[in-house]
This record gives sequence, structure tokens and C-alpha cells, in this order.
Amino acid sequence: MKSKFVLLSIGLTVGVTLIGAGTLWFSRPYTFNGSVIEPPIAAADFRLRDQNDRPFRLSDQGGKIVLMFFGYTSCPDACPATLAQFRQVRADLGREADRVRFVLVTVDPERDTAERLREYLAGFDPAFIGLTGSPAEMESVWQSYGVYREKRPLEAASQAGGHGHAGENYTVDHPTRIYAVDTRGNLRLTYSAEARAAEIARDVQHLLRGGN
Amino acid sequence: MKAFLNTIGGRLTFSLLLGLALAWAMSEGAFLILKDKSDHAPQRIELVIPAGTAERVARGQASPSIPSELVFVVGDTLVVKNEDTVSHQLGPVWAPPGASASLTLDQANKFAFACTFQPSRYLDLDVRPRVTTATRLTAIAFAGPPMAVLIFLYGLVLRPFLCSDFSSVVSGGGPPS
Repeated sequence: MKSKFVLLSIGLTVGVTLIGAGTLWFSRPYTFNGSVIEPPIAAADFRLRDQNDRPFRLSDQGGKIVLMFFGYTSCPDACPATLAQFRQVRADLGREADRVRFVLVTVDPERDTAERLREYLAGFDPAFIGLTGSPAEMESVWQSYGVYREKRPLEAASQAGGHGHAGENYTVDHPTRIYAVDTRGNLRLTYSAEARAAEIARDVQHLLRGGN
Repeated sequence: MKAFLNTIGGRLTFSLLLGLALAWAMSEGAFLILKDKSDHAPQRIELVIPAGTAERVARGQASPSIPSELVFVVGDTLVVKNEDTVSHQLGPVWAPPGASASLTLDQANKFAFACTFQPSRYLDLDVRPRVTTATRLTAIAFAGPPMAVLIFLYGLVLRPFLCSDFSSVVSGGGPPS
């Protein structure tokens, strides 16, 4: 009788402890994987043209998350990697991916025409959006998002260990950051190129569910 | 109590409790001895980039208020407060002008992050592991059960069960004291 009482007490203690620990674990506030802009600021609005030559205005994307990065179609390494990452994020999001826009803003408007963007993005996912514009329009967007860009003649780039395709006469140095704009048009998060797709997808899901 | 300890279940329970208690005491002792001075509860650590930093960096001058190395523990949140007129970057953290950006450091490692507010263009971040409740529970979970088995076996050596004990165990009671 006594031993049953002792065992019952131990069982109850362990049970209560586990329930308490579980409650604490699940009631923790969500921690974003990306770098959080505090407090969120309104994302600088812009109007460019997409790969189908249709106008694209950032402020018209209300209700959707916009994942955006700056790159170019002749990029030998970082941009294909980021688009592959986007493809994985899209797959991880499942049906919720319809509420997310995946956007590539060019840093090479001289070469990245709508047609070229369309062909390039079709190789990753036709749902991805490629944006281009006049050099003056692009300059304003780059400045708003702290994007530096520097053209490097291919010969110099090769000497410095860079890569390039035959027939191209320059590469463009550019940041590899990914920006996340929430459903209200606020710039909320940024990610480095090393961010994992699953982590980005978790953050996006949290934002889509109205999380702060 | 004596009768309870003379049953197999009683001894097992006692051994498990004693094993867990000893494992807890030993691991706490070890944590105390090996404790890192930088160990602390997770906190927000703010790094302020003063106005004019970009201009100073362009001239090759360091900002006196920004250290060249920062030490954190896992769980800390690094907040970069940008008071400059241009955006600044520290590794994955990008802070627009006049705004702050934060990052929760969830992995212990030594990082050399590219940064825009040091003339060297790099800033070292040392993120150290932290002793958490989970660490403590893991230590107890790993050390407790083997210790309980040893205590149980040691108990058998010190006071073996007699045949009469087993017959009483089988019949549901303890041996006569």
C-alpha cells in the first residue's frame, strides 16, 4: 500500500513537471530567424516593369508577403543560389505560397530586359517575378534599399577569382541580402545568403498568420 | 520504509531517485567549477552606430564607441541601432538609416562578419554556449540512470535479497523485519 502511494506520488510529480515544462515551451514568443527591423518601417515604394512588361508596384501587393532580392540574370553564383532557395521556400510553404511574391530586382538593367528575365526565371519557377526599369528608376530603388552595385570588367573579375560566362564583358558586384515585406507593406526582415530555406519559410508562415 | 526497500520495485525506485540526485549534485558542481565568466541569461545587447560613421570609415578612421570584438552567449539578441544617414550592415544584420535591426544569436560559434562601420570591414563576434535548464536536464538524464543501476547493483552486494525475500516479493509483501 505504502509502495503504491510512493510510486503514485512520483508519477504525479513527473507528470505535473512535464505538463508545466510543455506549457512553458509552447507559450514562448516566436523568435524570427532573420534579422528583424525594429520597429518595422514602411518599405520604400517603387514602380517597375515585370518580365511580362506589366507594371509592378510594391504598394499594390498588400495582403501578400514580398520576398525580394537584388541580382541579375548573368550572375554566375549568388543569384541562381538565391532563386533555388526561393524555390525551396515556395515548396516548404505549400498552399500558403500563393500569398507570397518572390521577386528579383535587377542590378543590371542594361542587359536584363523583360524578355531575358522571363527566359531566366522560367528556368526556376514561372511564378517568380523579375523587375527591371530604366537606369534612373533602378538607381532610386537601389538607393532606397541600400544596394551598392559595381560593374567589373570580366577580365578584372577573372583575375580576382570571379566567374563569368563567355560573351559577357562584365560582372556586377551586388549584395545578396533578401528582404521580407509583410502584408501591410512594412519592411520586417532581412536574410543573408546563408539563411536556410526552411527558416525563411517558418518566418513567412508566422507573418502570414499575423504574428509579430 | 524498510519493507519497501526490501522489494525489487522499492529498491529500483530508491536507486533511481538517489542516482538522479547524485547526478544533479555532480553536474551542478561541474557547472560551477567550469562556469564561463561571460555566461549570463539571454539579454539584448545594443550596438549604436553614431551619425557620421560612414564618413569616418571612408577616411579610414574607426568609430571610438564601436568595439572591434563582441562576446555573446547563445540566446542573446544583438541590436544594431543605426543613427547614421546611410544604411549599415553587420553580417546578416542590415539596419536602414535611423532604424534598428536585431538578430537572435542561436548558435555558438566565432564569426568574422563583414561590416560597413569598421575601417577593416570586419567585426568579430564570439557567441559562446550557455548553461541552460535543458543542459542541466540533459546532464541528469545521461548520468542519472547509469548511476541508478550502479547503486542498485551496489545495494545487492551490500544487502542481497534472500530466498525468503523473493518468496515474500512474489506473494506481494516484504520480508519479516
